[in-house]
Amino acid sequence: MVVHQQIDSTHAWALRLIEQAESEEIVLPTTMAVAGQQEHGHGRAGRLWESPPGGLYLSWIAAGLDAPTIASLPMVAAAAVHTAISALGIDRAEIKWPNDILVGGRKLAGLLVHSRLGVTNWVTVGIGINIDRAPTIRDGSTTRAVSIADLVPNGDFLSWSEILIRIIAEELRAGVTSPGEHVARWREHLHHRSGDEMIVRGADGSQARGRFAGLTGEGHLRLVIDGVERVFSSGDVIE
Amino acid sequence: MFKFDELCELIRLVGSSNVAGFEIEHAGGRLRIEGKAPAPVVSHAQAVGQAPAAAMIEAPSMVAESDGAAPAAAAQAAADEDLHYVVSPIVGTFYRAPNPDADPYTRVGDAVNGGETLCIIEAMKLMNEIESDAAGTIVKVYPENAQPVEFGERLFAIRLS
Repeated sequence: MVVHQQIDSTHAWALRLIEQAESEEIVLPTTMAVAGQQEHGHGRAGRLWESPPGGLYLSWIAAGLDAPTIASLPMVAAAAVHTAISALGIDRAEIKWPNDILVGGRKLAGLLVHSRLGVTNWVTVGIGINIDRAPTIRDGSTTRAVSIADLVPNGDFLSWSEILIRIIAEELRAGVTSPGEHVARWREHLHHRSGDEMIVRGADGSQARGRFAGLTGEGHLRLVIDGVERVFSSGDVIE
Repeated sequence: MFKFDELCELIRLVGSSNVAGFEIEHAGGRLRIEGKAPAPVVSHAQAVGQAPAAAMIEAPSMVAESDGAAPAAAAQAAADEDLHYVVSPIVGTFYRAPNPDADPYTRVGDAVNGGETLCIIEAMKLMNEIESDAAGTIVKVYPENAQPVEFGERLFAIRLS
């Protein structure tokens, strides 16, 4: 594990590590980069990921996973973070599709997975958790943020971070070995209930309003719109 | 005299075989059909009843089509043989650039190497970098940025180098 007090982003650091490992033909063990502040954290499609002090930002880096395991990682990683947060005594955490962690409808953590399939398959799992403070969310949704400090009476940044990092690392290691149990937990802890009205915003800005009708076997979102079911493989649930 | 459908059948048989041609006398008439690569094209009106020999006539329109289209079709086929298509390995959303403010990974006319990142396909906040599996020049980008793509859908055409 590599710890940075402040960094451009743990994902950028992970990419540099991967480039170096490839150029020098090094077999890189599974690695975790951790930071207390990011200058250029990013979310989906390069959007700014607010990364102020008071948050825990980490990237888990692994090589050689097969494609089906990589495809399960958005779910496996969300289950891993959910388990770690629950270990702090937070028992009301839920998962907003596909993998934001909410408590009482407020966002506590977010995830983003990157993969590169090639001669060696690389994957990085980026995780941001609000520890001491809850930043303002600017993704166009109505979601507000919450922090560990808002929810857990005892402890501090370091003690919470130590527990979260340890459990997330253990859970990810177990999850890529046998994803099924983690994927089942991901489904179990989903925030959405069948029939819930929701709006899904696509990457092109288009919005679809309908009723949640469950998930496909791959975990994609099924939405009934005017009596017709549509499946979304990506998008933001904004309401 | 041959009936029309009998004549057609004879022409079809010669055309589909490797027989160079044949000549037959029948019911007071004589018919000769010559096969000619790639296939005999015969005007039956001229072939029937013309003694001593019914010449095999190539239909002008067919010749004209063949002369005009064959080189173009052949050139197109040869061009297509040089094209390699990169298809989407998953269902997801297609991104041409790593972020909205960045330049696209690649544009039409760019030379790419095998292993070079061409785009990102996102599914469930898994950003999959899609690498080129061939070296050459990008000649077409099929999806628009931020559009959904299906499994197996064409993303790029690459003219192989």
